[in-house]
Parts: sequence; structure tokens; C-alpha cells
Amino acid sequence: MGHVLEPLLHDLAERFRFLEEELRRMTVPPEAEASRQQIHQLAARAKLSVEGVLADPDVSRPEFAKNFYHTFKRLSELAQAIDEGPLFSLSRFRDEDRFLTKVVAAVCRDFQFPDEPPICGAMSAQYYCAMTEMNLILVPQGEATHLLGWPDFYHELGHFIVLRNESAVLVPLMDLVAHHFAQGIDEARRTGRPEKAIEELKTFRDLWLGDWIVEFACDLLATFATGYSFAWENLRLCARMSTDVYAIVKSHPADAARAELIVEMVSLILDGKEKEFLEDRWSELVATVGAAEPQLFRAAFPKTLLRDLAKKTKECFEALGLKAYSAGQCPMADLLNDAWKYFQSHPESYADWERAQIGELRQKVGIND
Amino acid sequence: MSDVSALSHEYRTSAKLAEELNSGIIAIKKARLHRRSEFTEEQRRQLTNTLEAVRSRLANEEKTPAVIVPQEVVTRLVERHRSKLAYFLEDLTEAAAALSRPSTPVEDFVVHLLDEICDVADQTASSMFRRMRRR
Repeated sequence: MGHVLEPLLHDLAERFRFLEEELRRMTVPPEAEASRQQIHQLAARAKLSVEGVLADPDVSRPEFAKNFYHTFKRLSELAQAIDEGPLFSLSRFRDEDRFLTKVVAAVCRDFQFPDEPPICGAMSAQYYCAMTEMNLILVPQGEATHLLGWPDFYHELGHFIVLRNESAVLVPLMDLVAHHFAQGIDEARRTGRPEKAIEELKTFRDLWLGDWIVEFACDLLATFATGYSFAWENLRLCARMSTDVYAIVKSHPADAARAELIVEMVSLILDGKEKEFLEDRWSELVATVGAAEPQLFRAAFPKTLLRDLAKKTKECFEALGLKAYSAGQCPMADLLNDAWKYFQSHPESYADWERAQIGELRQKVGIND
Repeated sequence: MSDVSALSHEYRTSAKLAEELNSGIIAIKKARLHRRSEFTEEQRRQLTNTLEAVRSRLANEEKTPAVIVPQEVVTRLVERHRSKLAYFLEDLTEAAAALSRPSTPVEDFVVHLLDEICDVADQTASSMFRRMRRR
């Protein structure tokens, strides 16, 4: 071949041979076996793809160089992702991971998650995160013994749903956002607002159509499926980690907008009492941190858009066959709602209550200490 | 909850777009080189839909196309063509129309355009992959 890619492709083929062999020989607990098989097949197919490129008679032709380089890059990323994600997780799969994988499966049953539940590894240095392509959720090690953060599992499962159902979820939501901002921009032009204001609206539209709409949809899924425990967990997370609840950043919508949208969904599936209580507590937190709503906040997150988005998203989830939270019919969400209720009414004795609940749950799913 | 999930999502959509375009372009180039029909009608339809989706997103049309074009790809393309965006939109319309005609040879300008969008999708995917690892 004599091309710069040749040795790199041989190196990559060797990496996939290693990954395939490791995954083939690995023995994992039953909870992780489907995942091991799936990732093993992924590595085996990728190995064949690299070998196919190496054998391609056109690979050294200049007009194909960039295209085969792109192929090499995607496959290299896949090798790295398998190595760092599922291989790392599966080769160290302990009781905590087995337990949390069963918890995720129970959560999935609760709201009729349509696919094979992901496995869960308690080994994250990045809080909760989803590796959608690997069907893997990673959480910090301590999560196996604490309930209050578990509503975040639903948010992470939202990432799988949104990515795998783009035309049923993402497209209608993007339509709604695009329509809303198109109207706003037209109105701004008609009323002679300065060009700067119009440019700001365009910037917000682009941020919504980028990462924001996905994060919002995942928050809404979590609220749709848990009721209020996700709303409380979101408030706790904001209290712990937020630097400015009104800050407008690219990767995530403002915390205050997320809180408002979550409350919108709560009011669609539960009675008004919960909504008021959540709103009061949120206002209290905002007052405690001394945050004030900046002028641009409402232009970025109009109330009508948040309200319409909650309604539309609920319709999309229902059309997909997902089940909204209903007290007494969703055991995991009930447990999390009970946990949050108990935590707020008896914060001093909560730790003992939580320990007992987790002990019972471990017994129930067959993971004994 | 962490940025990793959002980046992972954006990586997946950019990588998928780059992969689809890249395999289509390879098929076109092989068909032209070997004078064989390695470029299928299905691939032709897919690439046409992708070009139309990119044009629709760049033109900020209200109706979201069925092919998801990540916002980061849109932003990068706008930055590249900022001063001549209207011409670029015309090129996309023309290329989509040319590509949609079944069983006709694919012209050079269409391949160049597809290559450019593929480059941008590839850069976006690579950038997301790196950001997930904070390198």
C-alpha cells in the first residue's frame, strides 16, 4: 500500500483483535451478559471493517485518501470508546454494578422503556453520564448506597430515547422551537426592534436547536416518568453545583429554565399542590443564593415556549408508548418519591430509613451483602 | 446530567452524518473510477435528503428535516460561508436537484460539496470526541 494510513490501519486492526478477544473470553455476571455479547459483536464487526479497508484496492489512491482517513477516525474512536467504556466497566463488574444494573432495569420497566435496558457501572468521575452507543450508564461509586440521586437515571435514559427516536421526539420538538423563534424574529422586525435584539434571538434559537433541546427533553422524560422526585433532585443538584442559576451557556440550558420546565411537566401529570410547593422551594433557593433574573433570560426562555414544549413532549412520549408516572403503579418511582418525601420531613433519620430501603431492595433483586 | 451525555449525543449525531456521507462519497468515487454501478439508488436518495436537510437548516426553515443535522455542523458551515451564504444555499439546491435524478452520473461539483459537508461533520465529531475526554 505504501500510504500513511497503512501502518495506522494495521495498528487499529490489532486493537480490535485485542478488544474482540478480551470480550470473547470475559466471564461476567448474568446481568451483564447481554451487554458483553453486544459489545463483542460490535468489536468483531469493526475488526472486519478495518480489514476490509486494508484489503480495498483503492485505499492508496489520492482521491480516496481523505475518505478512508475519515473511516479510520470513526473506527479509532469506536475502539477507544469500547476500551474506556464497556471493556473497562465489564472487566471490573462488581456487586454494586450488578445491583445498579438491576435498578436501571426496574426503572426501565416502570415507564416501559422500549429497548434493552443499559447496564450501569458505578465508576464515574463525571457524575451521571450516558454512553448511548455502548448501552452504558456510568454513575459515581457512592450511588449504589444512596437513593436521592436515582431520579437522574431517568434523565440519562432520556438520552437513549431521544437519540434512538429522533423523528418521533426530536423533530417535532425542534419544529416547535423553530416556529416559536421564527415568529419572535418576525415580530421583532415588524416592530422595528434593533438588529442586536434580532441577532440575540437567532443566537438563542441556535442554542435551543443544539444541545438545549436534548437536555430539556431528557429533563421532561425524567419528570414524566418519576413525578416530583426528579424535580427535587434537580433542585438539590442546582443547590450543590450551580454557579449562576440564570447563566446562559452552550451545553446546558439555564438551571432556572430547567426548573421552570420541570414544574410545567409536574403540573401536567400531578395535582396543583405539588407544583406550588416546588415553585415555593425554588424561589426560596433563588433568594438564598441571591440570584436575580437578567433581562435577557426571558428572551432566551419564553414562558409560552416552555409551556408548549412540556405539552408537546408529553404527547411525543405517550405516542411512543412510554408510561407517565402514576402513584402506586410505578414501584421504582414510588420508592424515589417516598424517599424524597421522607428526606424532607425527617432529614435527621433519613439515612437509617434509606439504608433499610436499599437493604430491602437488594434482597428483592437478589443481590445480598 | 454531566456534559458527557450531551457531548456523547452530539458526537453520535455528527459521527452518523459523517459516516453516511463518507460511505456515499466512496461509492460515488468507486463508481466513477471503475465505471461500475457501486452507487445505489438508495444511497443516492439518502445523500439527496441529506443535502436538502443541510440546506433547510442553513436557511433556517421552520420545518425540521427528517435527517438530523447537528447544530454544530450548521454553525461551522455558516462560519465558512458567512459572506456568501446565499450562493452556498443555491449550490446546495442545485446539487440536491442534480443528485435526485436517477441513474445519471454524479457531477464533480456535487462530489466537492458532499466532501465539504462530510469534512465539517467529521471535524465536529472529532471535536466532540475530544471534548468528552477533555484533551
